[in-house]
Amino acid sequence: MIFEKILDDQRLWAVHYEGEEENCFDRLFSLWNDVNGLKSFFMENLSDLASYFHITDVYKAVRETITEARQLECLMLDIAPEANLDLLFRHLENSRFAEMLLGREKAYGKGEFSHPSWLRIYAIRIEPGVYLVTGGAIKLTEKMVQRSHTLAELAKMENVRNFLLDQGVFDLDGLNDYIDNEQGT
Amino acid sequence: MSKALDYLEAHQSPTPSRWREHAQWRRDNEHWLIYSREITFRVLRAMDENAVTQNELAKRMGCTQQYVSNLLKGNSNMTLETISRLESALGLDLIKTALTPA
Repeated sequence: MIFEKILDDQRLWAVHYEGEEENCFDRLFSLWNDVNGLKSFFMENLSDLASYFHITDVYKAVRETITEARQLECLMLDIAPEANLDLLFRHLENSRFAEMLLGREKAYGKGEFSHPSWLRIYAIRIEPGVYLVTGGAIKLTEKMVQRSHTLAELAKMENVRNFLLDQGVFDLDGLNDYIDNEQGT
Repeated sequence: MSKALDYLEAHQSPTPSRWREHAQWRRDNEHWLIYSREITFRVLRAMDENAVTQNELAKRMGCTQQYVSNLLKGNSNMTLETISRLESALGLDLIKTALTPA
């Protein structure tokens, strides 16, 4: 598995999966700007779009996706060196309040329209303020396990997390440093 | 530097991410990308309404299916010739009325 630096200051990284032309962060924004690709996606998931978001016009969904992706991308482009990425990402599990080692996190669009944003960027929290993007999705259902495309993203996060743990990226000293950091000691 | 960051640094891709370059391009070209998308929306609607596949559209336009596939992403800086060919292939009025002398 190889990685690419998204921000020069090492705070944001992305996985470059084998066989992919670009890293997953770059790919995400390519997909979210592809009119025909988005139209096909919303056609395939029209029942979710209608039942969860009450939208039946796929072109409206495509327009909103591109607009939100643009805003999210501009936000990422303009991240200031002093900005805290911990404020951009949140725990994947809404019920989790404590930090966990290599926690699974998500960032989402601002929700410019009459509904919450369906765009998600998924990442592993490497350490405070440092994230590794594993992928992203257009999440139209309440739970990620409800659909195969979001379930696949969940699996990718878990694979990357397990890979990093297997590589010994966090040894006991690293873990203690991490806990100390989290506790502010 | 932490062990985790050391690891990521050591296992970086030999080619750097091009996301910033792509994102900056999208931002710098947003003014005409809006037009490209609008044309694409109309083309896709016309294709749906008339059950025209990408292959069929490519034949009508005298180009490859790959070219049509790229056009339909909605981020091509289409020439007037391309727009005119789309109009003819699908019987659409994309810019014809706006540009026809009174």
